[in-house]
Amino acid sequence: MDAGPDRPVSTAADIVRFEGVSRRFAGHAAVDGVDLAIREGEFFALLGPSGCGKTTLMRLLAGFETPDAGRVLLDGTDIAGLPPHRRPVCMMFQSYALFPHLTVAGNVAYGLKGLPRREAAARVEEMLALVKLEGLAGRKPHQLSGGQQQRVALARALAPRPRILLLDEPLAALDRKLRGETQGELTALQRRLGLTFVVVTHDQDEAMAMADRLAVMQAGRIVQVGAPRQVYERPASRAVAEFVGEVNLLPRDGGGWLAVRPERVEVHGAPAPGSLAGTVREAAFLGDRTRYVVDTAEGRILASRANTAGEPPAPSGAPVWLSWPPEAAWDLPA
Amino acid sequence: MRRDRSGLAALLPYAWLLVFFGFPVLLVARLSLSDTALAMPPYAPRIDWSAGVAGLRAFLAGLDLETYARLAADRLYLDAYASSLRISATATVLLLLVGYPMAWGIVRCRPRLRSALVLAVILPFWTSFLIRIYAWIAILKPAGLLNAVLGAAGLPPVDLLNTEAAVILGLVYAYLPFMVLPLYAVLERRDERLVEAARDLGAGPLRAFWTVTFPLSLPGVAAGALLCFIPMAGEFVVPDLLGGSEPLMLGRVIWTEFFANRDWPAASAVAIALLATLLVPILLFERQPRRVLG
Repeated sequence: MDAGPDRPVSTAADIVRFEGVSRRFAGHAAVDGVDLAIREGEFFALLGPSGCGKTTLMRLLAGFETPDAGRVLLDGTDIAGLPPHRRPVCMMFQSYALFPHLTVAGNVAYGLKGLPRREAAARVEEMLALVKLEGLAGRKPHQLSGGQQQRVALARALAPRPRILLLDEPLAALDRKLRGETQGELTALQRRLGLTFVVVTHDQDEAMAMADRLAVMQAGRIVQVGAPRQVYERPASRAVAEFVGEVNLLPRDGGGWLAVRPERVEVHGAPAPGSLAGTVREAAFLGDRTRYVVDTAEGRILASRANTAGEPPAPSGAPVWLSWPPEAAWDLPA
Repeated sequence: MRRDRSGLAALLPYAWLLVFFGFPVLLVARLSLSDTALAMPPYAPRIDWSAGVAGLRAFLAGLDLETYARLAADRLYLDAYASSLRISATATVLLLLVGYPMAWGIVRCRPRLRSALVLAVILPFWTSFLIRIYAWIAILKPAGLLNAVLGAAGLPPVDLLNTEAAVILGLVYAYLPFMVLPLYAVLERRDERLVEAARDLGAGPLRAFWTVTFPLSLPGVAAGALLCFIPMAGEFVVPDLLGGSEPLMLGRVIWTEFFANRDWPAASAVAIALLATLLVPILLFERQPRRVLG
């Protein structure tokens, strides 16, 4: 019944726990009674629309905000009193926040003040190799491309060997093509280092592609936590279902909905037992798939079908019959 | 049509500079190459326009560097130079020490209070500069406000008026807005996320300030220092009112030569030499890399 995660999730202990954490700004609760556990060594995503509090939650972990209520535990200890520079947590800022007056090497070395000079130099070299920026050590940030700046920011945040790496919208400033590449590189890097990554993003594809587990946030609260597949296939609420992908909601007698994802809806040219009759209102050919909008007695239903050879798409206005496997539909409370 | 007008608008400042800066400087330069004469105006040679090219040639032949040679040989002028530059430099350092924390403090306030404080910085401009410097005489004179306060506190009186310290104090007071405003401008534009990044990477508040905020504010430091150092080096009013006979600064040398000794060439040569000296820091400032501000 329960869809398993598509990647093995480590069974290691929790590295971070938020316990009833709230943070208010001028009366408005940006983070509202959040309970959340992040496991050691996992790639965790905080997913939500802008203004949902995900960035504030991350800043609470980095130490730039202090909770008005609740506790933030790192390895079981309350870190409320620790200023940002005493926390073994490093952050890659959304706009990278590279120091414009320092070279690439200077930026990466900034967090290595406690190390002897030779060791720090070796670490800088190691980090630049890790992000494939050897040879650019002497450049200033403004002489780098956006992708290179992103790598410097990553190297700089990893250099002090933090217990947790926070990434604030790490791919937002990159162009589309680079984004796909970087996404793969980040996950590969996380696997290789075995480090806990916590990424904040508003992009569900990004979160699902990278994260071992994700938390969906809405209006300062965590509405669902789970593996990407679990959250996608069994969203806990209508809001989550609608935020993570597209969903058809069919009203149920006595309230609530029956939910089914468009890609699970089958489109037949002839009546089938238990199918729902309708008329194609719109058929959009999208290359790899065709997207149907079908008017039925139950309301408008979206269907997304892969364009496999030998199956001509039903034209607009054609009568069709829709069905789905029983396990593809689930109940959502009102 | 529009383009023509905008071209004119761009030329306007240059025309202004030429008329109100270029010509006067040329005039002073020409004066500095002349000799004093018992005439009105009191210098020679003058161009005899009626003689045409020959007159111009005779005029050019009459110009020489004699006045500069006299300046270089006279300890009085050299001392005035040295004390002018020393006093300006000291006052500039003090202005930075006072102005930077002030600008930093203002920038850290909430926006409403911030604009009120900036207004307070420029408020002294509403009253006459001369009156404000006279007020310092009342404060610093032997039976003045300062000694009254010191006496009330049971401390020995100080005799500051007509000393170098009084001049420096007056300069710091008079030029403070010119130091605070450029510093405020550069600090106000600072990127707070850079400080957060520094804190995140293990820097305490102090280290984050010294390694990030301060280096990035250096263009403002340079602008403020120039804006104060250059006019202070030629300042006349403050040393004249608060300095008495000592120390001798160039502004007063120029005044004395011009009005008391009626030696216009000497006054001009002192002014030109000062101008040449002050070009050095300006050129250094122009050459510094500005990319940092992005």
